[in-house]
Amino acid sequence: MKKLTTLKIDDKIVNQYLSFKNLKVNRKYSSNKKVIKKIDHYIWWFKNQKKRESFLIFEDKKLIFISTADHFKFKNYNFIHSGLISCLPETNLFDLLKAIKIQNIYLDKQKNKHCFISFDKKSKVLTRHWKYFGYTLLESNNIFYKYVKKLLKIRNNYEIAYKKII
Amino acid sequence: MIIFRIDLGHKQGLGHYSRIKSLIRHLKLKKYKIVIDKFSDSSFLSEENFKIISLYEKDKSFKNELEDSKLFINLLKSKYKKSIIIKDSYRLNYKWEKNVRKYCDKIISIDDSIENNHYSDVYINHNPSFSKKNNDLIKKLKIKNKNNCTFLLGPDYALFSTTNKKKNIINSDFVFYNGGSGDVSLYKKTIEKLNKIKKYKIVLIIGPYVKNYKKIYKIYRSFKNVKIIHKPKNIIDILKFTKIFISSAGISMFESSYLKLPTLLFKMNKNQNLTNSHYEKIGHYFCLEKKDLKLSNKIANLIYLMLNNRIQIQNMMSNSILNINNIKKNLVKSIKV
Repeated sequence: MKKLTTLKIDDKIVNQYLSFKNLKVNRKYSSNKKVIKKIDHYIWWFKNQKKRESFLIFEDKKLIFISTADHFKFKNYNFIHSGLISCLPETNLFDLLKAIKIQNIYLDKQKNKHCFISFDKKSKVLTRHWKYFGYTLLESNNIFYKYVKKLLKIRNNYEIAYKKII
Repeated sequence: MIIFRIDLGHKQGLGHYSRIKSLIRHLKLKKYKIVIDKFSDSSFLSEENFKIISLYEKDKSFKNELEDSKLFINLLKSKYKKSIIIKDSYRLNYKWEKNVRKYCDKIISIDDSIENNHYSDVYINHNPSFSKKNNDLIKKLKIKNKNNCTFLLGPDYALFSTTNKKKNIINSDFVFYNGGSGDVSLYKKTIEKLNKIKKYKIVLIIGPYVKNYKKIYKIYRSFKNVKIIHKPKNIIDILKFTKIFISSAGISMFESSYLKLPTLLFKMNKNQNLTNSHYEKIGHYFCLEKKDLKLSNKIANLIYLMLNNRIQIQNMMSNSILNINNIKKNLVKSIKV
């Protein structure tokens, strides 16, 4: 069994982080399909990276994923938008599920927070996995729906699922 | 006697001269001469005019390596037999060195590309991408050089200025620079956008070989918060008292790395084509392309964010591998003059 370890990211990964985000495999599942320019990435890094808690996921010392969790507030609610960035040009279902499992260990510690994930409606893997980790689809009549959709700039072809961590 | 043969001027810039000046200081050289093409290129070097030798007469100029080597050999034969030659030039390589080598004690070549062939006894290349441990690189360099050449590679042998006279302290928020001969009008729109955020204290350094100085001076004269410094003897005096440095990715990147000064680099020419990881080796994590300067709104925004997050950037630079004491020690140990 390969050993999975994690490491909190630091700012020195800024350029590598961009090259991972721009990998085809990540753009395919991201709402932004375009290659991100360095200048835009640097600006984003200074503005938003501090609000994001990210950690690296290694499998036997090989970096496979970055787990991301953007923390924000809505009224009296604490929200987290979590995601995964593949660090390899090609990924597989087993690695992805292992990374989700590791990410959930982190999320389970975020008590009294609502955690959101978003995914392409066409994605066969992601449209199935949320059910197994306690997520519920965010329906349009939900009080969070408009706010989350607008804040996270989620397109219509994307689903949002959420769970409350108790 | 040590004879330097260097490129200097509008076309070649100031980098070659900066590198040999650093070597002169590290090796504490006293008896030396600097050979350049023409005295007209030496206006900036007035303090050491007596050390400068012009190789070409007024009506003549550089043609090729062979012709240059002949003139240089004549100079050696007439006055400086058995000298050590230190050469920093993009134009003079294998042919020149092979011819000159018979008339001198040793040739030390300074280069920042690996494509050139050499016939030198010592080869210095401080490109941050290089290291002694890179066997493939050493193999390639050995093929391109003569037998028994000593290779001094990577930032352990970096040649840049570290002296600080502390005479005129100029405090500033930003310093803009584009090398000894680079066009600083490229920064105009970015400075305009920055001025819309706040009237920051900005220093604009204009190198000694920048063309159309008067035209550039006129462009920036209307910016009341911009102090123009033309032909500074040493940029480190200015960098020490600023918060953010915006520059071409030339020799000055070593100076700002040494000072752990948050820096935004622009790759202005084909010599400045390192990968991210190589710039990161000397502590520079923010490097853009020349064409990005067209996005002046975004560049100004980024510079503003860098100013507000400069402690964060300084922390990123904390492991930069430049150590001036080690560099001095390495150079003195390896170059016995």
